[in-house]
Amino acid sequence: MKFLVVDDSATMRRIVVNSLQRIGFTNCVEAADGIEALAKFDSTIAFVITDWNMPNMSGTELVQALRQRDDGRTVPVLMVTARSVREDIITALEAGVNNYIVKPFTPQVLKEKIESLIVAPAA
Amino acid sequence: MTMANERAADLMYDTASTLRLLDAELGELAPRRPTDAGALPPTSPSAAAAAAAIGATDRVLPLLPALFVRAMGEVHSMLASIRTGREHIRAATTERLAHTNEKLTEVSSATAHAALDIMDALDRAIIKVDELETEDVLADATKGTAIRDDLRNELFAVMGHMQFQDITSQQIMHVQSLLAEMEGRLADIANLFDHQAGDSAAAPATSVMAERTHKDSHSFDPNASLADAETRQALADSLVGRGSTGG
Repeated sequence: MKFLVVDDSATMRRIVVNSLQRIGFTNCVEAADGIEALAKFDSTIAFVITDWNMPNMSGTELVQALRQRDDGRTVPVLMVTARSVREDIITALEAGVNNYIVKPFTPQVLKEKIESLIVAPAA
Repeated sequence: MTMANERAADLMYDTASTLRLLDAELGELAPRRPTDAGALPPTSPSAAAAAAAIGATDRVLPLLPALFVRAMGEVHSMLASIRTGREHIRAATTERLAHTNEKLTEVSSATAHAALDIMDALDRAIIKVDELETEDVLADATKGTAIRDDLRNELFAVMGHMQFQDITSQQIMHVQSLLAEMEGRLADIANLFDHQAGDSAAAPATSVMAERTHKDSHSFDPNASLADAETRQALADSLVGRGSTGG
């Protein structure tokens, strides 16, 4: 199962990728903003984990763009962000985000949210 | 704020025009005053000039009170406008400075908190390493496996605590944006009183800062925080749950 991890913070990308590896998902592609993510997204990507606040293209804009594409219409998107105001969370969900994690997070929370969005976790 | 600045600038311009007019009128009088015509022979060319000057004075003097009243009124309006603008600036700047201070305190606190968490995790990891070297554990492979798992968890926790770097960098970017905004306000004030200095010195520095701030403005959440993560996650979970059940 291939993950696309999108965050402008290299530290956060590394933390998310390491957390995924620890859970058992070792196939990850990284992007630093929405534009790079769209360029790297293809039908082999099975799951997207994205930050909200990024330069050039935000996480919500990325999700909206993905939902316009045939190959991105149904891909599970998990937003991992520091934004935690009620209105923000609703905005993200309305943009097409499937689940939401507030930073800072624990690996256990990440695991739970991923498992809630996929039929069967990678072996 | 911008309207107050424009109003003050307009008033300054009007006042400057009035004062220039006043200056021109007074200038006409000035060269003639020292050679007051009374002491000169009535037939000399100087006497004729003095007589003309007296005539000009007679024409101009009645206008002076009106000019002074107009100039005074405009100066008064300008001062009132500046006072209003100053109050706006003071209120906004004080509030933002307090917020800036609050954010920097939060950054300092978050950094200290994360550093302590990391130190605690490393302390526990060192204890696990020591345990691995005890004879008891060396003789029992099962115990060794359990301790190594604990050790991995502690080291992984250290990595998790590094999330503070992302949060604090967003808080610092927010502080930078507030400082850039205050710098812009100060530049506006400087430009108001000295257009020339504003054009040549203040404006370029401000525009660079403003450009950078605008570019970074999408890269941070002004409310980013390490505090109450569990409560905030619970709110997100409830909203996601409501969405998935159509509520």
